[in-house]
Amino acid sequence: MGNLQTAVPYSVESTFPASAEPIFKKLTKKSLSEWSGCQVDSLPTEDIPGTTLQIPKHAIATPLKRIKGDFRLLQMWEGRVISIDIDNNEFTAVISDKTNPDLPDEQVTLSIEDVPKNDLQLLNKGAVFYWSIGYADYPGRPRTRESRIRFRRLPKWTHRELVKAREKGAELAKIFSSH
Amino acid sequence: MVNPEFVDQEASVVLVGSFNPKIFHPQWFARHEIVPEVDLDGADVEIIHPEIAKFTFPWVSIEVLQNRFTARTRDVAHYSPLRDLVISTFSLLAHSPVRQLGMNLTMIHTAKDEDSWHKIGDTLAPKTVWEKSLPERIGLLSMRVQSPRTDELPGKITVSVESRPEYGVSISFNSHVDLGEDDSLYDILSEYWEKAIDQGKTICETTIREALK
Repeated sequence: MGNLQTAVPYSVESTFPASAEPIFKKLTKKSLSEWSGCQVDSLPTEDIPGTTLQIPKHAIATPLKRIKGDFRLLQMWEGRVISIDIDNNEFTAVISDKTNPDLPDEQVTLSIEDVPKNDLQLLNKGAVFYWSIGYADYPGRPRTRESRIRFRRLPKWTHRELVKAREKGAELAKIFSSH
Repeated sequence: MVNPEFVDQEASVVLVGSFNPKIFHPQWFARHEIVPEVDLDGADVEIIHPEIAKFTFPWVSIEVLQNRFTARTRDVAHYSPLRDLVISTFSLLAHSPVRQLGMNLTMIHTAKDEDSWHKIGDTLAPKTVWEKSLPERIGLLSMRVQSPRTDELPGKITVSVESRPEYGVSISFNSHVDLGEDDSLYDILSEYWEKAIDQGKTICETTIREALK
């Protein structure tokens, strides 16, 4: 096929992700010089007009590089929690195999210990989670087989959305009751 | 029917619209519980600037320009969390105008030798015309094909093929949607993300398999 090159010009309007363009080419010289040496210590937030998000100074940090590694997926399921048994430190869920969608859903019981600490607050009846099993390869470590659970994070319903949903529900109820 | 092997893959969501890059900061995502606090430990900020924000969490990288938002992951286990991250982000930033959505998958295949590598290029782009004027072995560098969507969404499907070093071939699938003012990014991503990834995977596999026949 030949050497690696891109004959098709990169288009900003495209929703293709491929952008090998160096990051600083995207900035004008003027904006770079204005920004040079600046520190950002607060950021405006769009969701709460008039407020700012406080963040540490030196927002443009040069942290230590994390250890790079790869996770080779073997199997993945999407699950929905149907019950939680605190006494026995476990929860029950219905899981769908995302690696092989032809397989039927299964009911499983998992240990709460398997849930990452940061996701424990999300462990509720009806919560959706992603469960994956695969090989983890990290430099300097032998290959390990890992099981990972990550709970779905979606924004909480706003008051406006709840009102809208109730209105829609009432509208549908009216339609169905008239038939 | 044996599926060709792929050595790497990446999924991404690209939004074209109007954004305020300096809002996008790892702490903003954690503060709004879009990502767990633990993800901050592995966050790597390259730049936060009024014109561009670029940083990574351990499983996703995010780049925001004033007219373009891109979130991408190479971790297959995080394709669904990638979708959730974009949904959550733009539910919070509901007033950010988004005009176009791209649901993308790139898969990289490594041919077993140079002959197989050229076979893929020669099948996808026959060289008969070029052989009449070019003196030496002709190789395909890149090509892009397009097709209208077959669902009810306005947009198109684009597939690009590029050669890579060491007999590699990259196939990128772009499921592009033009969004109207009343369209909900939440609804479209919820309903079409998995379909797009499945379609992309099928197209990438079929392209290589058929090219190698």
